[in-house]
Order: sequence, then structure tokens, then C-alpha cells
Amino acid sequence: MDCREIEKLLVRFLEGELSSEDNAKLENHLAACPACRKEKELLPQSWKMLDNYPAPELKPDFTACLMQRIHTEEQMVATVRSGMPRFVMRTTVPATVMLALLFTFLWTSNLRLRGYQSEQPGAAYFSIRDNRDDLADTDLGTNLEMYFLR
Amino acid sequence: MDYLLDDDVQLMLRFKNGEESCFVELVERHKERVFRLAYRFLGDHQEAEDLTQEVFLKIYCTKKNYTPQAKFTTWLYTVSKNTCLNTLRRKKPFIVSLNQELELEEDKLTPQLAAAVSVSPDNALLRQELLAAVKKALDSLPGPQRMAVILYRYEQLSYEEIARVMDSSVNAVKSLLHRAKLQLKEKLERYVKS
Repeated sequence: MDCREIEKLLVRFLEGELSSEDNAKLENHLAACPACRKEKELLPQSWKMLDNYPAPELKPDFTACLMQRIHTEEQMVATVRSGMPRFVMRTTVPATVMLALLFTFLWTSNLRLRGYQSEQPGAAYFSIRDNRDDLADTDLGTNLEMYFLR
Repeated sequence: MDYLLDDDVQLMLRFKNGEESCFVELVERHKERVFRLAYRFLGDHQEAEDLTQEVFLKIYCTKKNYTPQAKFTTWLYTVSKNTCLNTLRRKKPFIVSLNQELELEEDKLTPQLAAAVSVSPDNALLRQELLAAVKKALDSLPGPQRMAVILYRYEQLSYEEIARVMDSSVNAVKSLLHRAKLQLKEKLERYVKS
């Protein structure tokens, strides 16, 4: 065993986790190598140095602040939830319907104009790809492409 | 199923059934534990306090789905560990080379620091310098290694408990700690040499 190998085994040696064979090899090496003996001493000493890291205390009103924050956030969530149905009815649903109608209209008119009535989805896909310039990488183009790939 | 007899688990179950005072009791019992962990992991008082709040908020929000599967503290440490590691990921990467020298005048300071530990513990300045060296050495460890060291060295958890908290095997935890010890020795050896 050389010094590098010894260093890797030192932690396990100090914790008594080595096999008796490795233990004996390591002890033989340590008896002959002052540098490794020094390393062996440094490990527990540096570990002990971690004692010098005390943690401060929390401020006394921590729990009160936490509970206040929890109640404030609960109130906010309750407010948002109670307001949600009206908001959804007034904006999200009409917007979704309009988008769906617009998409359907664009899709059908696009097919009629270009005459892509083929029964083979693959053919339609390649035709669309040949005319990519017309679609100019818009979301509509991407959506159409994904549709025909399915 | 021993954990079902755990006082804290019982408190959490009562909180799940609507007794908010039980949650307050849990916070009172464990806030310092979470804060200490966060402080040593992040090294900043305010960040540690915010993280402690975040941990208890998560505990509060999961009350409906709470099903005891371990001791309460194991679960608490797991939530704290995840929150700490996520916070670390969100922070700007701070890279410290293993070979980087600590920014202290080591030749002048080392004998004094060694003396401060063994002879003159009242010397506030030297203790402060020593604290800075330990803090920096700990901060230089990768997140999981740092967490394993804090749980083992400061929170006195066993290898098995740390493995449960870190969702890992005992051997993996031992390996993390071995590497951390070697790295800490590299960082701190100049301060322990007398």
C-alpha cells in the first residue's frame, strides 16, 4: 500500500471498519511512515474543529410571525378560490371557445385552399412540409404538422 | 410501526383532524432544530430563518395528505433537507477550488488559533477567525456531503437515520461522510497544526 491508498482508508480505519487484513497492512504502513501518522492525527482533530460552529438562536417571535403568514396566505387562497368561478365564466371559457373556433376555421380553410384532401396522412404531411415557407413556422404551422404526424 | 407512538406523530395527526394548536406545539418543539440545520447549511441568518418558515409552511400545507410513515423528526429533516438543497440550487453557483487558500494570514494566525482552541477560549477575535475557517470549509463541501456532515456531526443522527432522510443507503451515507472528512481535513489542517 502506498500513501495515497492509505489516506483513502484512514477514515474507515479510525472508525474500525476495515477488515483485519487491511487493518494489519495499514498499521504496518503507519509504523514506518511519519507523514501518514500525521495524517491519521489530523483527521480527528479537524473533525473536532467543527465544534467551533455554534448556531445562533431564532428570534423569539418566530412562531407568531409564521402563524400570521400562514393565516394571511390562507385568506388570500380563500379569496382567489371564491372569485375563481366568476372569473372563469367571464373570461377563460369565452376565450377558449373563440380560440377553438378560430383554429377550426383556419385549419379547414387551409385544407380547402390547398386541396389537401388526400386520404393518406403521410402525403398531406409531406405537402405541408413542402410549403413550410407559406406557414412561416407559425404556431399554426407547427400544430398542423403535429396533427398530420399523428 | 413504533413511530405511531411518537408524540410528534400524534400531534401531527391531531393537527390533521383540525387542532391547530398542535401545529403550534410542533413548531415550538422543532423550530430551533430546523433553524440550526438551515443556518449551518446556508451560513446566513436571514436565509435560514426564511427557510425555517418555508419548511413549516410545507408541513402545514401537507396536513390533509399526512400519513405517518416514519418518526416525525425523520420527516421534518427530510422536508428540511429537500428545501435546503433546492435553495442551494436556486442560488448563484459559488465555486470554491479544493486548492484555494483560506483568506486568512495563516502563518501569523495558525499558532494563535491553535492556542485559542486549547488555552484561551475567551479570545473573541480568534474564535471568530476560527469560526470563519470552519464555516468556509463546510461551505466548500458539495450540498449532499454538507448535509450529511450537519446531520451526523451536529444533529447527532445515526447512519441509518441519515440514510432515511437522504433517501439513500447506509453505505452511500458513509461514503459521503468519508469524503467530507478528508476534504475538511485538507481545508482545516493548517489550523490544527500546533
